[in-house]
Amino acid sequence: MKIPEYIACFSKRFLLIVIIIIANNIFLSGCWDMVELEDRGFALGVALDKGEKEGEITVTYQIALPSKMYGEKGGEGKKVMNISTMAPNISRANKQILARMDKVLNLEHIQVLIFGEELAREGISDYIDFFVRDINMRRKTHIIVSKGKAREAFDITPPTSLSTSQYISDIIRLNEERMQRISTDVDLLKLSINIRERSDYLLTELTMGEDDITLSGAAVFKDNKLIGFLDADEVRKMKWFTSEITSATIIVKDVADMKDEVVFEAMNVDSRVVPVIQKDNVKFKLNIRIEGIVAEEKQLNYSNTHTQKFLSSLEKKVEEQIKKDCMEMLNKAQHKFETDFFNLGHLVKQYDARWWLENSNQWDDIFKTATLDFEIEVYARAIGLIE
Amino acid sequence: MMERGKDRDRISGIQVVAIISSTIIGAGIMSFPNNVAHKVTVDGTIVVVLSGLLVLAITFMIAYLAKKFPQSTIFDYSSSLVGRFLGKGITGIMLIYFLLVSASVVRIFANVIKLFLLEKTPIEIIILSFLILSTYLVKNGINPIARICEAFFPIIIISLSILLILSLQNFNIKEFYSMWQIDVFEIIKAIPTTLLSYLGFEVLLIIPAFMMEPDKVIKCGIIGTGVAVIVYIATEVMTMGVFTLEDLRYLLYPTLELAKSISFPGAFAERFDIFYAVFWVLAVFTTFAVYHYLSAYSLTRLIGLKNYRPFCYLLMPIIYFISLLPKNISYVQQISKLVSYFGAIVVIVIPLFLLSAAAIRKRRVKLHEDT
Repeated sequence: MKIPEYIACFSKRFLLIVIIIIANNIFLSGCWDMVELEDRGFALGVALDKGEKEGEITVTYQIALPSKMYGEKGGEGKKVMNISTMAPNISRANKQILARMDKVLNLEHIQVLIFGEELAREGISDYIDFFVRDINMRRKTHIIVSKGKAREAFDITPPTSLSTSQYISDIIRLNEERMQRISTDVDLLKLSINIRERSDYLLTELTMGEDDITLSGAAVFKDNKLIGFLDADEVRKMKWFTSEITSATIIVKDVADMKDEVVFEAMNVDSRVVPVIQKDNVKFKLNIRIEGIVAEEKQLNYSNTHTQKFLSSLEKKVEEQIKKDCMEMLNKAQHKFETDFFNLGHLVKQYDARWWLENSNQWDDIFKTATLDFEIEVYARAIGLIE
Repeated sequence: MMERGKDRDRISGIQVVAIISSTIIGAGIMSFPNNVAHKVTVDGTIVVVLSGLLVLAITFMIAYLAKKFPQSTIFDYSSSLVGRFLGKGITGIMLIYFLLVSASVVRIFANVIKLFLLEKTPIEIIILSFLILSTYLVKNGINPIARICEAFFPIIIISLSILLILSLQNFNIKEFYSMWQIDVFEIIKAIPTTLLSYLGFEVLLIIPAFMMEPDKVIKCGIIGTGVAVIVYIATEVMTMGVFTLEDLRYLLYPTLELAKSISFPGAFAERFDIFYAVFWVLAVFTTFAVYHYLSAYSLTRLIGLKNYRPFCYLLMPIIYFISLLPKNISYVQQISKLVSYFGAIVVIVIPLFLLSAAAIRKRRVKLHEDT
């Protein structure tokens, strides 16, 4: 065969390079174990429940259907797919799920991990290891405990969001710090630290209505087992013990000897717990500084709220109310739950690690005898637009 | 023209700084907070700071030796100080050490890469491709290595700084409240382990021979080690503040875990850990290339030849087989432990021995002159 003129005019070396480049393009054009984006099933949430058989759990994944969420056909039909399977552990469940789905399971975008109440009562530590050990999981996954079956939460389709998981995660992301009635967010990072340090903790509680979801209150964990719930009001009260509190509304009665009810809205809150550690007991000192305004007054005692007498009485009342709330919560922790769910033990450890090394075995007993000191400053700065 | 040809294998002061720093910052940065946490009960920062200072002192000692014998490597001055036989022995120990380090670095690298980026690629392929690339770089002499280090050094430092700064969102200063509850015995016991995570500054035993300005060796050595020490301290502080000390004992790769815990507002990059792993590859590559070069060079000197280039190729299969010897990650950790004991001999025992030999010799010469 005669080589045509228009090819032969190039040097052999040049042709060789061209051939290599073309060959590279053909043979090296993709990863050999690549999975196309359309073939990936992105899980948005996981729900873990107790299985029907002993020693088994029900694992439910909420899988996103991006083609239904976005694009031309977007907006019609269900936007997510919930798949449940029963297995003794999570790795097995992940394999079983592959038989029922035309996509490859991908865990990189999991937003929430929900434990059912029943499973949580038996302990969650056995099932957390997979998510910490697996390379694909992120540490910012929110951990939640649901009253009732966790997987039923995924059946509720909220109107403002594409999926239940994103809805829950957005409530936490946007409103957890604006409102004191949701327990402080615990993500996979914090939970794994708590479990490995063997401390007690609170997780956000989820309750389901007919077709809506409420995040409020908290689930109390001792030895990684659910032992009870705090209602929303109790969560608000216990938040004085955390330094994360930024705002609060406090209702006080009978200010300045008038039969009224005043809502005090705290704008700037600075709260700090300092442990005072002695030989074998611990005292906690609660430093709280609040600035706030009068937000509501029920009895309409006009032209009274701006008086010095009213405001100083209000400050006094607010201070008493906070003390009462804190004492109530400490009592509940010490005697009702017998659990250090404030994680004050960790605080003690931060302040005096050597003491903690020696006494951490007896912490449960020491915590029960712990007392509380207060140093509260309340400033009622303004009264709004009405005298 | 002759002058230029001679200068081709010379390196500048900045390049020495880059080589030392990027040799120290390598595979170990992934896991060293874990090693430290196993040795202490209350706080790891003080130990890391103290051993960092100790490392600077040792660097000064090695650089002092190098300054005393300009234009020559440890192989040259050891045989002139303690005789040909012991000199060969020192060269042999260093050769074994460099080979073991190369093998363990490439194995740790392959383990992490397989875990993260190339899940289905056989570990042999990862190691082999790394070795081929490194051989291609190393066979051309010290100058290309120095340039690669110089080019990668800022990238490594910047990517690590980004990681550490972004980790501030999870940082909790309270974890350091009891750091001053010092237990002296505990610290003394923990220092050797921590000291050995800094290994890499021993390149100063050989590299100064190629310097254009040999009188700057102490300054460059201290700066190079100092940068790495600062990076290590910052990493330790960050991992301690994000995870607690107790938790660090459970995390195999705390620095990587740091990257996994970062979240961006708007979440445009949800997997920061992969981004970080990519830059970590650069850090490991510079470390490995330097050690590959040093093993080839010391083997040449042990045999007594001039041209080290063939040995770059010869060492490829040797490093490959040593790196595949450990069956699993547990053996890999045991091998790295063994390597660090060798490292202790190389960075502390040998330089001290040579320094005292030099001192005795000097005194003898002086006595000789007096009489």
